[in-house]
Amino acid sequence: MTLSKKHILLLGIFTFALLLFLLINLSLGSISIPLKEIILTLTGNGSSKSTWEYIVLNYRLPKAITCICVGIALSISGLLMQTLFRNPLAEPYVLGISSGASLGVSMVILGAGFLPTFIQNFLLQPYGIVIASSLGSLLVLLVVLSVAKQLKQTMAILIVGLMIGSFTSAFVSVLTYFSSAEQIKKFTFWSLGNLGNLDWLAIKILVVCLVIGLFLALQSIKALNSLLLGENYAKSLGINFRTTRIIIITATCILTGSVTAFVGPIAFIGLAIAHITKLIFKTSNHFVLYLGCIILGPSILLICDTISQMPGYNFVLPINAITSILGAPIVVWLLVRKNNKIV
Amino acid sequence: MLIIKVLLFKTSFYFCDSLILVKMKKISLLVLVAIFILSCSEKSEQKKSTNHVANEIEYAKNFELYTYPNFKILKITKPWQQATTSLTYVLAKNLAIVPDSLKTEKIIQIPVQKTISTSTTHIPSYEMLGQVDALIGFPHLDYISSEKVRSRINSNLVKEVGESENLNTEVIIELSPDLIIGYGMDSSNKALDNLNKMGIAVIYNADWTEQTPLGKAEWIKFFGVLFDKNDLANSIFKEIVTEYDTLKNLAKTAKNKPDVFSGGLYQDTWYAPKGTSWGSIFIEDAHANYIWKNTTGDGSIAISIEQALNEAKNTPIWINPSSFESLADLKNNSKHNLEFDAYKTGEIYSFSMKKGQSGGSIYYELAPNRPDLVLKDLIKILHPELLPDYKLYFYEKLK
Amino acid sequence: MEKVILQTNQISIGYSKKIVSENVSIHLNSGKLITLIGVNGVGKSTLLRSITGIIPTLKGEVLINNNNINTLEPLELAKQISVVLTEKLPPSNLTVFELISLGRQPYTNWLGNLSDFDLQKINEAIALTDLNLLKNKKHYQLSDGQLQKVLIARALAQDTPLIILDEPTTHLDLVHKVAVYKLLKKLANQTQKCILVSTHDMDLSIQMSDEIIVFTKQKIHQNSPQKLIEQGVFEQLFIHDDIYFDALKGKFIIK
Repeated sequence: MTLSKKHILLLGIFTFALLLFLLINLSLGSISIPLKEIILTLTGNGSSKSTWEYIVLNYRLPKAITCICVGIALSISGLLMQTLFRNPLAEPYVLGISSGASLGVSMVILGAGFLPTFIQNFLLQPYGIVIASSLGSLLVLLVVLSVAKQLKQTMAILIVGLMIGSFTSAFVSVLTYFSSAEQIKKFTFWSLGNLGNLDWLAIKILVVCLVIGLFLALQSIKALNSLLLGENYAKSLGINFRTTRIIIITATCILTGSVTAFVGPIAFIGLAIAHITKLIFKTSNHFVLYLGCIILGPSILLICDTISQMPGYNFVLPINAITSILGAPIVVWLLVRKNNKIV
Repeated sequence: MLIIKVLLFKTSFYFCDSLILVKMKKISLLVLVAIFILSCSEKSEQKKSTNHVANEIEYAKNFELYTYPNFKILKITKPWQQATTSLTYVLAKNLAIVPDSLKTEKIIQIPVQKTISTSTTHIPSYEMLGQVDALIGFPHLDYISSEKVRSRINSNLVKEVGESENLNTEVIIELSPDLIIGYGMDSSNKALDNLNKMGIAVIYNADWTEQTPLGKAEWIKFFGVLFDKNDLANSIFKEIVTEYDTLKNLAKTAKNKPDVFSGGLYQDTWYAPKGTSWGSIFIEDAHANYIWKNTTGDGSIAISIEQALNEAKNTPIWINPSSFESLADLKNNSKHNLEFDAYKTGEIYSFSMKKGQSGGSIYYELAPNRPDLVLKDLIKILHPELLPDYKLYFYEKLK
Repeated sequence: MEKVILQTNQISIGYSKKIVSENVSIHLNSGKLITLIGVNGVGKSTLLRSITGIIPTLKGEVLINNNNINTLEPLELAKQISVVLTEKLPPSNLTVFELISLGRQPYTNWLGNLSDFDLQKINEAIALTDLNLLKNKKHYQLSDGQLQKVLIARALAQDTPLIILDEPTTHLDLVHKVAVYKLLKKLANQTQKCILVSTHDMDLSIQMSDEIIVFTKQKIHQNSPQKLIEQGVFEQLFIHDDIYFDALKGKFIIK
């Protein structure tokens, strides 16, 4: 399928909007820095106040880049999941990735006392939480996939993912019961998501994962389009279903797993952006939607992050609070609209 | 009295309704004034009967102590942060002498000999009043640092009773204490309520709600009542007050008033105590300026790293960097910490490194009872020239 | 010149636990509209699944253009057989044009871009099915009859020598049923493809198809409608007190 002129125009407008939101996100924060200073700093000319320069280059800039990576990764994952499972409520975490991450991180933060000492020391390293989260996600993923292999239907994977999510939830609850207030607070804060905490090495790793994931996702566009007719027609068109499923699930795992490991679970972006993109571009052509998500995902997350910084006020809000305020009405509205054939 | 009041009210309204309004209004006004005066005197009559005894507590705001010939009354006016009512306890050596009018309140027989405490902040009072033998149970024994109590724990004379939010009812019933000294975060305390219903006396200690250094220390008098050692408690407290005031005056003689900041980063939010919190008041008393002293209320401030850097980067001294215990810890926590001048000069001080034998925090246990030592430490840190021979007790410089 | 597109030689079809039918030999030739009829449960779906490769045969080979279908990659098979199914499409925003162009998937590049040749084939399919006026409408805006034509056009765009339709007229009224059969017959003729239709429309089948495959429990018959009537095949089709076949009229009558 090809891009229509209208689509190209829309993509152009939203790319411009993305750059605008990026600039706004860099300009607004807890302390007000004049726009001129920001542009000076970004263009390498330094700033009149060294604190400002530090804040823009070492806090706001990495945060904005993280935002963009996370926005792209989660919205593309959401798109893939919604088409693969043919369910408008599917989102990147249905495979159990966030449950697995919670499991891993809870072991580090809440359950450290129960682990053998050498593992404890390993996990106390700066990247301890990232590694624990990735391992947890991987473990849960393997369980979901091996159970799903026995089941023929794609839909079954959804249910298995949900059930495993309940199990990990229960496990984390038990750990919470035996933890101190300090530990519980730490864990809760992790699960609220945090975009502002990555160093440049972490961002580099995230970008690499993003590129790999996007490449794989691109490979599956053709198959996703044929899935619009249903699995049987797709097979009759020569789509190798097994391979496609593996590619889509792998892409989702890399994209969502890496994001969750570094910034924690981010609510609703995976679910909402794919729908917003479909609404704006009014097409089911996955190539258009792919490009749309890559632009709309980061745009909206940048707006959410800017709001969460509460510029002008003395406090900040966790990112998940803002994305949920955005996402929840969208989910409700979706359910109301489900009668309509547009999805 | 009430019936007369009602009748007078009714008659005044009747007069207002009639056609000779103006004249009658005057009369009804007089009637109303008469009622007011009558009820005022009624109240003062009641006051006279019980209020001839004064509250003995001067600094602490959240409890009151009244001593009567045969009993004492402890009134906890703010048992928890959002409390709307107070809790009253009657303490007597001989329960038979308690007047009938007070029999509806909670009555505790003193002195208590077998007690369960639920907070390490109670332990110093036990020790200072020579009553460590009275402690038979505590939730999470590892938290206790006091050496005397630790040796009792090691001899199995103090039992583990669960978690403070989740007390082990069975163990406690078996220990059969005279009194449980508990604390509540809010009005629902199921475990303590259940134990009370089963016949075990419970008293709520609210020392943690006090926000002033001397106010917290004055709670030793609470324990003085329970152990019938009021005179000892009073004299200990008096010494602490004198020492504290002396130190405060000494601090005022310092030549400069340095800026101080506090708190630490978690992810990208900076948490620090508010200006009206107990810890922050010490800084002011030590003749220094806490940069966030204008924040009020309970809990901590949560500001973004941007704001923290903007406001504290050039502040010379960093006191209480959350729970971090070394410069390496701070570096691991976040590279933003390296931007603070205080990190570069190494002027960071914390009490987190001083721990008891089993890892409990000595500061959280002892400092509320010994504000004088805390103040002395801070003066030593902020104005070392004023106390040349003193060695820090709670605080240490971060390495 | 007639060509055998697909043939089966004495295949046994069924599932691992159950044999549905044995010694099935059919041949599907180019340029013919062939209907497949049989009572419910006799194994029509099983046969279709076996010849499209969805399920394996228990014995014997299915040959398409003289290749065993098991040796063909899914993509190769997609260039030989296309299908039109009864199932409802999942909700989507596809336009008629986009839906038809999905038929070109076996030929397009990794991203699914349409070449000029692809566009030509799509437009041919649209012309053959007379859908020019509807091509930019969303597929969910169409009536059942129109949607059926679109699905047929899609199969046409896939440009396969064999098109298989599974009960394409079940939910259509008589006028539309006739329209579909007429279209299919025209297509078979004009494009020289083989079109196999599985159906319960007895009368239309007898009147419109070039050949009929009659699937009974005992035997598979394949011949032109006339020959089958002469051979009295239809009398054995429904053994039921209320129905009989009138050879003269060429239709089933209710007693």
